[in-house]
Amino acid sequence: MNKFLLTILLVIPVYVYAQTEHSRLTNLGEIPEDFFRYKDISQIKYDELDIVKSRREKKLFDNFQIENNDHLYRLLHSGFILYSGPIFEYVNQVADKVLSNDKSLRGNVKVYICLSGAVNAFALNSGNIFINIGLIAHLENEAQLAYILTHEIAHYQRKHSFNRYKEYDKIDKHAKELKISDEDDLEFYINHYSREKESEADLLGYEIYKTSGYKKVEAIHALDQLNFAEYPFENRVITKSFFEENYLKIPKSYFPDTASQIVIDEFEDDSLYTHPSTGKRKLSLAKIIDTNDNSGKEFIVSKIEFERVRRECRFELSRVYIFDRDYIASLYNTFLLMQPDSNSLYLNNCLIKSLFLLQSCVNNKNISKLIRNRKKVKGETQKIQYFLSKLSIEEMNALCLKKAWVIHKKFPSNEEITAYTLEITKQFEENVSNNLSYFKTSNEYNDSIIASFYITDSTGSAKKLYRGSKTERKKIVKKGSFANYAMSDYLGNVEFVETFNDLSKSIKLTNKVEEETEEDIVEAKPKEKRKKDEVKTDIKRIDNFIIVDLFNMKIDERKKNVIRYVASNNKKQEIFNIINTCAQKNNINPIYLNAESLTKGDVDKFNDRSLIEFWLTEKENNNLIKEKINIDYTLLQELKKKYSTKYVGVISCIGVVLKKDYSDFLYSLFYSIAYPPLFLAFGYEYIMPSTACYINFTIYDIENGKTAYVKSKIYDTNDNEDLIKAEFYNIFFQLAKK
Amino acid sequence: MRQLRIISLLFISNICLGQAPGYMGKKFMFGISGCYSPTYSNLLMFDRTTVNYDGEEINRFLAPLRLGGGIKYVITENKTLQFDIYYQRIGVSTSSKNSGAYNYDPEGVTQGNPFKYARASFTTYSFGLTKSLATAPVGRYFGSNVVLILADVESIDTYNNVYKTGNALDFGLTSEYGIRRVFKDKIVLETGLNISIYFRGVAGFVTKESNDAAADRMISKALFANFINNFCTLKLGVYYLL
Repeated sequence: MNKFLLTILLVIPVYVYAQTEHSRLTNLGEIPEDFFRYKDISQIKYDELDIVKSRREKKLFDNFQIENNDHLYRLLHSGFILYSGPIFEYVNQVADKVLSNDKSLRGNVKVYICLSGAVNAFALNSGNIFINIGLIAHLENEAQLAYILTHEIAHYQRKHSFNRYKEYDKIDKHAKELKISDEDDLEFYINHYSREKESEADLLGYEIYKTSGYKKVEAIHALDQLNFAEYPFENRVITKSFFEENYLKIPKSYFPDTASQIVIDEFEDDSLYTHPSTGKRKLSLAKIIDTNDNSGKEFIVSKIEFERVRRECRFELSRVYIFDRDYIASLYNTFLLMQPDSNSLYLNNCLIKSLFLLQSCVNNKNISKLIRNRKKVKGETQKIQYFLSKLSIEEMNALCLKKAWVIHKKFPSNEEITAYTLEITKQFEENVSNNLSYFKTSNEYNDSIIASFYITDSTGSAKKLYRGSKTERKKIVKKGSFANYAMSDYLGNVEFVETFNDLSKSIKLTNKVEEETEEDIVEAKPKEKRKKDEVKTDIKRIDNFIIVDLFNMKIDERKKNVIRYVASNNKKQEIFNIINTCAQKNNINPIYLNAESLTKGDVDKFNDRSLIEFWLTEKENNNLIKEKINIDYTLLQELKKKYSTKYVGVISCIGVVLKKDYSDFLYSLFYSIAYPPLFLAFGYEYIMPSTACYINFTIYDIENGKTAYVKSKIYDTNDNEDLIKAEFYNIFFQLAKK
Repeated sequence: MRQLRIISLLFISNICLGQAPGYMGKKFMFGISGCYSPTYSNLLMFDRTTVNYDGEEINRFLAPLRLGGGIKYVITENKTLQFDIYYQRIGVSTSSKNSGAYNYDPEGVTQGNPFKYARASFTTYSFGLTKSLATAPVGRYFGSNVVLILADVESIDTYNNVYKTGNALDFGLTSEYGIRRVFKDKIVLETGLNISIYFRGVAGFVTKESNDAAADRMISKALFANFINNFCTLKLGVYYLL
């Protein structure tokens, strides 16, 4: 009876947990002190220990501290960092375990989670360690995570980050002796040094790890996971049935049965990498680990919690891959997770988004760029790549249309899915047909009809090897298309028919208006060309908008350390005040979500900022697609309501002191001798430093992703206060102008 | 005439109703300015000595400034309308440094004559438009002005104690290039380079401004000296933003 009860108690939470719907990972609670500590980048000093030995090193260390603080501050406020939530808490519990013998070290180490799909983790000299969700998604157990943490802690302990900086300076100083002619040579030497430090961290990390009680051999297994960093977390067989629906049958020739095997070369040439090859790392670890020693545990904190955290990370990857423009990876990741969770709203949401973006790529004739971007395609993902490369515009649109309506039928009340379904339908009508008669009725369909449309040409001339794999690319002779039957079963669906016809009417109307205004547009073009400044505005008045980012940088090309971090940091506050003054003078009320305006209790603002940062990154990455709806559609709609504005502003200001060009000095001298008054002009030009300033102010419309206003201009003067004031006042003046 | 009125009205209405941001909403400014250039005219006019208005020999680089004042008004996002008045007094020597001769020469042209010199005062009216590369009035700017010069010239012969006076009118064009900075949101500092061409200064060596040939000749010299000295000048102006 007791056993039965125990089983029930164990099963119920797992069942409940399995039903929990994943949602976007956000932060909760107060923003940690760390996020504000590095605001004044020149104030925070690190413990020098014994790494600084000379005056030169002291100077280097000071520069390094400032740079590091600046990068850290930007990273912490990038919107991609989790400082709370189950993943953060679990990883920190594991860090507590591995450092349970060294409380002071644990006090110095702060572990954060980074929302990145890259299988990586990194440590900074300040003691901040960042673990990517892509890495957690790949791990098999808690012990592997513990070893990764100890490896990063070793980097921190040995101050590898500063040592690398020092080495970079040393190599740069001796560039001539080392015959370094370009950045690649410099990287070669630096990478060599980095590899040494990685090996050192492996061994030192293991010294901490072995006392933590985790299974020792898992340290080697953790390194094994790095071999698959470029691949999905699992290589499960995918078949065409994943894409198929009723009346949507994919021809056999479009979807290969097999994909090339993933073959790992553990001892590949690592001379161009920052890390040694996994084989070498495993060998050096194997020397100090008894591989037959099975003592220790794979899980100390909690197995259930590990699996929960890993699941969260894997789910989040589907979303992160979309932002990284890796739609195919997102599609495959979603496929992997859908096996037990095919009715997950989140996964269906990711699926419809990936399909929509792929459809847009195909319609904009950019799909080949996406496929080529995936290097070394091996494993099951290769099948999707092959499949997509085979689809015509018509077929791709039909596939997306059918999948979208099937998903919409599953979740009819979900706004986000409805919005995507509408967009996919619209794209279909714009690129394929806006007439329902395009689709054949279900009576005309039978199982063999699709196969009869696609006949593989067996003549040898058409055969090609696909990307070096053994899969043969054969020419397919088409006598029809499965696209015509894709929606056969939906022709009786009132919602589909009405939506399709309504969209068809609106498209016809838009085309008519466009045709009528075509002449005016042609006439207006030469006038547009005359405009020199990049100033564009589609709106009449903007009363308020969200300022999400304020980027400032001061550069002095004459100095060795080109970026003036402290000056940039100080200038940022000045610009912030200027913006505020200028906005107020024009009766505009910006909503500040930029890092500088946040306080400890602004967690909601922090999350909102993170959401917008993701959206902006996605916007920047997905430049292949001209028009689209937002990825975080629902969340952004909520954001719009919350702040009563649909506009988001991004501000950049870069001031540069340029290197003087004295190549024309002799000419100037000659002209000055010939006509002395010119001496004044040339003298002025040569004495005064050459400066330039770049100001960019962009306002996006989060409703449609379009740029509502942009002013982007380069000035040949310094980024003085008066220039910035005048320009920002002008910007707000234009925004406020009716 | 009617067309001119319409154009004027349009121009004024554009200025009054124009959507110019100015500097933090401020568009009007007034202030003083000065132009400086070493005296080059003596170099070109037979190596004469440089004298001031009172006929005293001075260093070439201590030439008198052209001082004045003016108003500016920002009419569009990057254009500024300006009106300036300048005043300058100069002396035109007829004495050659190297002649060493103290004989009286009635013409006083072909060789040095320490007893004869001319002095002139110029009132310059300048009206123009500048275009800023940033939002006006800040930043680098370039522009052009129409210039009207009223010259009062005195020909002085100390040997015979003869004073002859004459007036002349000159006009020209000035192009300017420089940079404006605003301090404390109120003070505009303008530094730049002006290149001017005065038409009569360039062409009119012989004029008939009076009934006296020698005086006319002195007027021509004065206009020429004015053109040469102001061909390329450094400008410094301080204006108050309203």
